[in-house]
Amino acid sequence: MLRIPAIIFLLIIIIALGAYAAWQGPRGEITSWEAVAAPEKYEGREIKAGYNRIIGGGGSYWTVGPFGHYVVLKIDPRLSLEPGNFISYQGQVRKDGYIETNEIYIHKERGFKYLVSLIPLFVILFWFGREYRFNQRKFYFEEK
Amino acid sequence: MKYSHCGTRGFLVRRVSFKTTMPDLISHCLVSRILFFGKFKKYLLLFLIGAILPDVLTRAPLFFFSGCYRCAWWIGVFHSPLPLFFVVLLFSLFFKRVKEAFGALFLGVLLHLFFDSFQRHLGGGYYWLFPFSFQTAEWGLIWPETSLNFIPPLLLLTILVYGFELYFKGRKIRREN
Repeated sequence: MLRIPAIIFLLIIIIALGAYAAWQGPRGEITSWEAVAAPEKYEGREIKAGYNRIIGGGGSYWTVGPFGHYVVLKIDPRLSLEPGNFISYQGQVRKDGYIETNEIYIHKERGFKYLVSLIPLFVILFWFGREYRFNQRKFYFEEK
Repeated sequence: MKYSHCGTRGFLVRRVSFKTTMPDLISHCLVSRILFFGKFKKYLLLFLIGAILPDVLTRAPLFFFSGCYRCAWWIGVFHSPLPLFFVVLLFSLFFKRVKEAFGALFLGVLLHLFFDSFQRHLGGGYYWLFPFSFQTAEWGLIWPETSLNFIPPLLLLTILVYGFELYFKGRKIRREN
């Protein structure tokens, strides 16, 4: 019965791949909060970030909170932003400790998209429950 | 400077570029349903599971670990082909017919990745060659939320496909009788 050893082996591979990403991934990336913490070092450096939540600010300067950090962005004041919006941006680090954005995308319908995505999830779960049952003795799903 | 908005509830700005990111799961499922007909229909459920798997594996956990930077890296790479291959292989082992389950699930995953490759991200993106490279790449044609606009036509097309299936099934039965 090779099924159980194969499951354990694959689980180890999957966990190892995740661990490798968590270890190596951040090494090649300058995060926005690292950049604004040392602006003299990173001045002019281009920073890109996705799905940052706006937690405060107004006018031209807005604060986003990526992973519990605070990063100030300079954004065109004509944009209708408000706290709670999720934005992706691209910009340059300035020596005063903020990022001047030159491209912004506002994820206005993010919440709606996530909500809509729950529908197929529940339909598939329900359908799966109707089509398959778990055979505990043999440790696999079989058609009903 | 370049700004973009999404969908019909967008706002202003300079040089609007209609580019997007992750299509919603309804779009993925509807496209899967449209493509899977005829003899392959018996694998539709597994194919649909494969089609939503990359987002279920990554978006759902990230919702709970949104404050953890390294967790985002840990979880985020499971939207890449090689890690997904191993995850699908693992899932297939929980089915009686391993090869069939793997085939249907992985085909669904590949279709999901194919459609996601059309998206555009300003930050992040998909690591197609992970663990060999952390380079991201995408066609950059649509922003993530744009796919919501595709739902009505896809739904219509799905109903049409289903209608054709019923028509041909009925015709076959009539001929046999």
